[in-house]
Amino acid sequence: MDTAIPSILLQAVIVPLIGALLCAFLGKYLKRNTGWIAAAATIYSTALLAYVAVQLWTQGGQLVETYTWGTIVFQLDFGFLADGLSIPVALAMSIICTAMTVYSINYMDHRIEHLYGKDKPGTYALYYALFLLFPVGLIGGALSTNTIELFLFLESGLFPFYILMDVFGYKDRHRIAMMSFVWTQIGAAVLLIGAVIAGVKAGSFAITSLSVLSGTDLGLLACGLILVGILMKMGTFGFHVWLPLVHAEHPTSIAAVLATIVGFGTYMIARLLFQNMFASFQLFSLPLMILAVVTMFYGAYLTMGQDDVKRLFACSTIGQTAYSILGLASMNAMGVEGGVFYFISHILGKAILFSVAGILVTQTGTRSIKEMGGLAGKMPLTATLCLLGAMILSAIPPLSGFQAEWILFTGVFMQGLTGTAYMILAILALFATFLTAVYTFWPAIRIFFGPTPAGMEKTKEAPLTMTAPLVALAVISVLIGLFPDIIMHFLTSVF
Amino acid sequence: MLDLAYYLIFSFALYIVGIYCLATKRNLIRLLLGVEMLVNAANINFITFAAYAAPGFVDSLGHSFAAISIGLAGALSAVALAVVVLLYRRYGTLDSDELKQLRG
Amino acid sequence: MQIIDVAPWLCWILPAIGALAALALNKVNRKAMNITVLSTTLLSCIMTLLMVPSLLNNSSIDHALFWFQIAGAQVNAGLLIDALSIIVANVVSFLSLLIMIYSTKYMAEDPSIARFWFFMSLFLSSMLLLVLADNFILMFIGWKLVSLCSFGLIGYYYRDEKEHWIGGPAPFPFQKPSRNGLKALLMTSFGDTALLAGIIILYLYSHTFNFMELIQTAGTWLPAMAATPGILALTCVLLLLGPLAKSAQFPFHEWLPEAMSGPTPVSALIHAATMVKAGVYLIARMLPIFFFAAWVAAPAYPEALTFFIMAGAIGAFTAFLGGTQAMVAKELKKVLAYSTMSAIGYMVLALGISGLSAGSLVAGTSSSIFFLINHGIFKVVLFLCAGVVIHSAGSIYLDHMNLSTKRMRFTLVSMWIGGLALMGVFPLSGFWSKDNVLIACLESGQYAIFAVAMISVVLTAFYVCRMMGLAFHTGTPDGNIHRDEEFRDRKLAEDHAHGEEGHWIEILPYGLLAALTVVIGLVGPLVSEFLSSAFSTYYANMGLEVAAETHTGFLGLSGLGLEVLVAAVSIVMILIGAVPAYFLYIKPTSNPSNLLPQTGIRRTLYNFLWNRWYINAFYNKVFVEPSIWVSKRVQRYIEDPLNQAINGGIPEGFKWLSRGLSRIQTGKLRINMLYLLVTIVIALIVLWLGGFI
Repeated sequence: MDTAIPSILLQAVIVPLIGALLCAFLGKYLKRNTGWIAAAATIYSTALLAYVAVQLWTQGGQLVETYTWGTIVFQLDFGFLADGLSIPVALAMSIICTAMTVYSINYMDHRIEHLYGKDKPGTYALYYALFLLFPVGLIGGALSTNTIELFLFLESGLFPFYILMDVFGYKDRHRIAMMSFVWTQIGAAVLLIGAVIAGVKAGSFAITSLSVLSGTDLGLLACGLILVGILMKMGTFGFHVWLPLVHAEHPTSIAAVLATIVGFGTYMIARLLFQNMFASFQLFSLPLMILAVVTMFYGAYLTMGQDDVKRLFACSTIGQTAYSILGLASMNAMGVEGGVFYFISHILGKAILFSVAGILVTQTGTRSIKEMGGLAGKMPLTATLCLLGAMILSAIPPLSGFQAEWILFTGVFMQGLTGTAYMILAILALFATFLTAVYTFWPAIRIFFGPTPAGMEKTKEAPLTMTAPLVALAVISVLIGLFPDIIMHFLTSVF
Repeated sequence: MLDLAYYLIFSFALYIVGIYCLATKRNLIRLLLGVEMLVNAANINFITFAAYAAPGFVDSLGHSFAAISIGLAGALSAVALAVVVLLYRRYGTLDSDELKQLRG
Repeated sequence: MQIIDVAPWLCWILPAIGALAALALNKVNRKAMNITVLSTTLLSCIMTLLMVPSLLNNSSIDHALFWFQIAGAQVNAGLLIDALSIIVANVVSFLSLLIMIYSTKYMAEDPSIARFWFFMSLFLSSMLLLVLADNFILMFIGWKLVSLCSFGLIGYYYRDEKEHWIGGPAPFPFQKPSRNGLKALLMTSFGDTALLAGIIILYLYSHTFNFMELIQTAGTWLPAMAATPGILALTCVLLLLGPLAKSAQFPFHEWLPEAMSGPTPVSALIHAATMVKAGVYLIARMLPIFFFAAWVAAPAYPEALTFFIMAGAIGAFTAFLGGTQAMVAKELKKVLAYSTMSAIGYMVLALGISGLSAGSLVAGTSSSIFFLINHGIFKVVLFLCAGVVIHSAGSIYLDHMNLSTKRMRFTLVSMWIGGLALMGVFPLSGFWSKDNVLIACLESGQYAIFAVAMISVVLTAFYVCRMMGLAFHTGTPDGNIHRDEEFRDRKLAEDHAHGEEGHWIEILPYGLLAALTVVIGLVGPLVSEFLSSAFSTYYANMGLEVAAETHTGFLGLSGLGLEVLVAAVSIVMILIGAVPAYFLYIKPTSNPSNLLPQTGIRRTLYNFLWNRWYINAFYNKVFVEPSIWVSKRVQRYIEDPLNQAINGGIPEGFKWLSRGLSRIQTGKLRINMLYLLVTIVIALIVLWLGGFI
């Protein structure tokens, strides 16, 4: 497949990096407007990826770019692959990063002022420069063709994660920053061990060469290690203890990106394990399904009991990523397509919800739901956005969550027909989706409806730079919900 | 000549005596004597192996090690005794258990 | 491009555009907004009328467009125009138009009416989409959207001001609108998840979502499905739970009474005439598949009978349940809500009957749809009159209404017409539809259901007379407004209570519909015949040739004799219900307030019915409270300990290890020498064991 622009995928990955350097140098002078440079970089990246997506739609096939990296010991190729699976994921993640960059412009102003006062212009540079490393990591990871490159891009988000948390986080931020650092490291390290085992045995680190091991004992070990590493990063039950704390105490613009990183594991499982190591991965179907269902229920009940608005949405991520894992665990094409689609839909919804939480925190000054009420009259747009986010998560049409969910569950039930245990799991999982409606709508009602308490009388609607990106995300979700072919056309060409 | 093993056992025994001295004595000068014993044990070991390197042949590399070692041991004793004298003048005691200002 | 190709698409797209236009025009000009919404509704109504010729020539048309791909198949978006969808679509759009006209005056003083129009118009659009969709997925989209609009409209008064609370009166608890909206959404969502499971299982065997294809290819995929025992029955149950929840049938009926906290036009449109009928529509849509499986397929599959047994039983039970609760309800709108539950029970049981014997397919379906049409009309009359009554009495409680029969003549007459039609009095429309259902029961031999339905007739007569009596006929003929000391009612009373008739814009819709009730009643048999033949052809087109009606009838009577017998029996039942109610509530010398002793069996029975058979309390105790209890405990007893153990425990473990190891570094020469000795000893042992010494 051919495109008119040279090295288009490399550009999409490198431009945010260049933007980061620019922000680092110019941040001191531009202060809050540094955000616009960052936004420009991410918009450019998104535009390039959208162009590739359109080309892929009309021409079909794949776009591959390879650059030789090193020839010591192994032949390492640095490559980018845009096919039906990676392009929708990369594009969606890029859109989220763009939206969050614009959102940060106002939000971080509040945060920096709150934490450091007005005369520390360097902090803006720090924030935007590090923030732009996230799109680099995510898009690069989605497009990468070998496991070492994937690991590299994944870990490029490690330092920004730690530093941004340590500098800008909420309560207990130093300790939680260290905790997030350690957990991310360990998860990625386990993944790396599995990848290296596979790579050494197969003779090459390319993702496609993983299929050489598929079905062998060593392949099972490698598959298991990679899976455990990814599950640690996705916050499934057992490995989830870091997620509520880290996710909640991050500045909300980064929390949305974190939700993307957490869900990125879906893409990794689909690419590394489902596509290339299917025979070994198949053996994990039942345990993974059980784990996913347990996580869904646990996440649901944990979320229902929260009072802190940011922590509530953080805990809801636990349950939502479990949907995607369930879809992948069903080991058939519908399930995988549904799982990836659900991941895309979820990050749109989670970005909206987290940003709404951020708006609530900045506008009302409190994080406790008990103190809020009746805010729909004061902030109608925010209330609508919160309800739209709740609809995305609860799979209510015309938003994207509905289409993703039924496709996912068709795959799950297809697996369910192969045995009673699977059928019981499938029906339990469907019941858990009902709980999602409970824990997304009930807090929305408590926050936005009902009488307004005395302390909340003066709250005002959020400024445009905070709400406009969210409206854009909601519109994208509606579009995908009404025309699911936008995503499905790509996914069906791969699976 | 006697068997190689006897000489080695002898130097090993001397070594153990030196270790014992370092392990049990508290007086700094006694500790220095223990160190000297260790050095001498090592020297004997060198000479022994030099003599028994190959039948009918004496490897004088071992002898040169021993010679340099004796010289160094002498220098070591000189410096160590100087330090001991200064310590005694400063702290008034030669008991190694008492001297713990640098201990963590 | 013929009009029939475009009309169905336009009829559901136009109200959606109207909804968005309402939001856009809100700041611009209120009158323009009202007119835009009304005109899109009117256009939609015209479009549905344009589809009627297709009904008359008995055709079935399916326009399908490619929508999106899934693994190994594709999903199409299309609209199915046949007898069932045309009839229901017309009912929906016509009633919506009249109710929206009513709302322009009823909601005139509401400041945020744009939100009202948005949801009402979006509701109309999604309801029409639901009815016209040709496959399960598209229908499900409309299905969920109507739930969403219902949530938005029930919780319309989201600030939960005291005047909008329902329930009570003190000392009984009140319920707030925002919570009621959530309750409706969650209860229907529960049914929706079951429905989705059923749809998916059906798809996995049949590989299609399209209704027509499902029935046409049924012969090919049913054997595979029936090969696994229990799957067909499971699918029946799952597919039925969704419509039951949507139509407020037992056991998902508890959301409907609380739904009355929305404005009255909302109650009329959504919770009486259309949304709750969506479940009935879907059951009718899915019926042919299961009828085929149970009666027409060569090796018949008795598991498919589960569908009909469940529908029949639950419909009958709910009809009874609703009737008993309506007898003691204190609020006017609650009486109407319970009565809606009961009436839909009739429709569901009629659909159930249509599959319980080989010959009653057409009778059951056409009587159910006839009941749907009539009930839609007279229930809307009742609700719209109730709105006017509540406004003019200043209270939602029947005990506080003493309205003047002289000054509110239009409303009184319309409401009585609606009430008599509900009771099933000759010659109003309700009489014919009720009797059709009862005849279908007898002809198919379902005597138990017939008995329950008959008892419900008694109950219906009783509660309608009670309602009318308390609203209009107690107190002096001139009426005096009972000013209640409750703060809630005081506010309402100050704003609206005037004891006067409603505005003409409000009277026109329900007056028109009352007249329509009478007209349909007068030509009842003709309408009934038309529907029978329409559905006969409808089923024949699907290949479901119904066995000739070879039943011997009941007690040797059949045909006209049976109809007369049933009519006579039902009139007797009505009298059994109405006469006591007359003496208790309507007769001028009656005094209903000292009717009930404080203790004793009558009181216990009264409490049981007043507390809705304790079902609501049961749900709260068994589902809601434990969930909240568990969710609070999860954080404290699972998450925090896990957090402590892993995030605190592992660092503590490392600290312990490091402290332990650092103690080896004593700095004492003696100890170090000891280590040296130990190491030498170990080295010697190792060398000796390894054979080097």
